[in-house]
Amino acid sequence: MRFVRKGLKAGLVSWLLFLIVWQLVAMNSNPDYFPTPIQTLKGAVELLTDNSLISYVLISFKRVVLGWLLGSLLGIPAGLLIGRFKWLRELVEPYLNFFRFIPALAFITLFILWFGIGEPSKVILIMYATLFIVILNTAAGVVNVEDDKIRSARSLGASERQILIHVIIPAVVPAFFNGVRLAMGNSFMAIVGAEMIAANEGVGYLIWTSRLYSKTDWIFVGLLLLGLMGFAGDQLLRWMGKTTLGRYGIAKETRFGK
Amino acid sequence: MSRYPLISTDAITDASTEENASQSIISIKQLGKSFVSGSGKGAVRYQVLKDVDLNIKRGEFFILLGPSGCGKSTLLNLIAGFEKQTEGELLVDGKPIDRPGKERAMVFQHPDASLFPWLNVRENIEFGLRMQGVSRGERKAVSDRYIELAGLTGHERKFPRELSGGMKQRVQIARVLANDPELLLMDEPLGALDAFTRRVMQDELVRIWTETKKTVIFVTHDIQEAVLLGGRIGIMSIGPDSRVFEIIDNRLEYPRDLTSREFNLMQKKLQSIFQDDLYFHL
Repeated sequence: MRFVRKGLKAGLVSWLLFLIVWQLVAMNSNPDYFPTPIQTLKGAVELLTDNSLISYVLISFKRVVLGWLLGSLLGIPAGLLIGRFKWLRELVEPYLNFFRFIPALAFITLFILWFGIGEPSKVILIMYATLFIVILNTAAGVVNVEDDKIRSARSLGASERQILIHVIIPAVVPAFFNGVRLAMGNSFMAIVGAEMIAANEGVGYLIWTSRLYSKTDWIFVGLLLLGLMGFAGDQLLRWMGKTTLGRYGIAKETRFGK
Repeated sequence: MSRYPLISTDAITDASTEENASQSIISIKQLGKSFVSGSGKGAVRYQVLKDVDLNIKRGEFFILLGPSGCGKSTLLNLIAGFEKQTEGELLVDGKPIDRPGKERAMVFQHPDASLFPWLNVRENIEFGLRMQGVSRGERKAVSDRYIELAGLTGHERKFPRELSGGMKQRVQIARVLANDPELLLMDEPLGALDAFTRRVMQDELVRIWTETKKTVIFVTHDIQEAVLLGGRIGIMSIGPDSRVFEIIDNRLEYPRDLTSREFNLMQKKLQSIFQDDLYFHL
């Protein structure tokens, strides 16, 4: 009983159940449409042996990380400024509220036109997908810094510059961290779309081209890879957050904010 | 005002004119504060404070007592320099206030909103000194002293979230004391604590005040707390147009005994002011 409960907590039970259901469904359908877990694993081995699997994963990952980093680096200072200055907030709010409804993917054709078919257009796409989330979260974080904190600092003798560096930025860390985490998720969505439309490599490309060869098992491999990459990226980010930014209140709040 | 039976005109003249300037750290004359809410035709002006006259003596424990919404906190915020008065004069050490300053420290009601959760107890206490560029060694010496004074020994490395409400308020108090202010402004600092912790902290406040001899202005709506802590108790009328309409001298000896006859007489005296119908028509 205790073993089961531990497994449930670690997510093992969920995945075991997932595999069982998958197997049952697959056994009752055409393998061309719905491969079994074993067939999928075989597909993965095929892709591993010709080295495409690893290189696709690395390429997609590189695009995501690069674009996401650039977007975050740009979004944090922008968010800080927008949160800090009311006039700036009023100036850019209409843009933010307009552009955030245009999905990153909708820009892919334009970006290819502007930045070429190569890597830049994809990285810029991810940057775009990241930017707004990071700006909005950071700016909201700045606006929500309690007045009492700023007043405390002021009456303890802090200058306006010191308040920004020693009060507002540290207080915004959890909000900004939430932003970059959400943005990471968005980046994966955007990169798959971009790779399906315009790429010769990457996980999105794998999923898209596998249909040409009726390799449903490869599609499954691609989907599982995306889940794994996202999960690994998020875990890595959270671990880094916990170890380096723990004191700012990025705690172990994991599932559904528990 | 003269209709009011409990007002001793002596007390008022005593508070506003006779006190000489060198003795008072704060002098407030005809002070007013109004807010405008809404805009255009719908704008409404609300006069929170009007004609406030008050002198605070150096080293005293002064209480501002009144019901919620009477403008006690607004008056405190004006003294702190967080807000600007709309009428009248507000001098600290003879100089008008135009911004917050480290000689006027505020202890807020909610420690979670005012402490820095990313700093541990010691770092919170050293914050003001760090901002002023005081060296690490010197900071440590000062924070050691106030950690001990505030009863925080053994908790230096804890973060605010690991502390109880009472402990957090100790951190707030130590944090402002480490900055060596002349004036401690306290905005219902014990209001959010449970009754037991509150009693302990009241005694602690008296002890800390006796040891540091700082001037304290303490806002509360609790009559018992006012009598327990205050050397003088300024009673505010209900808003709008609030003012300090009477100042009660409370010469009971510290630490005060809640159950003593004198304590209860004093409490009764204050109670009768608030229970009088005239209070609501001031």
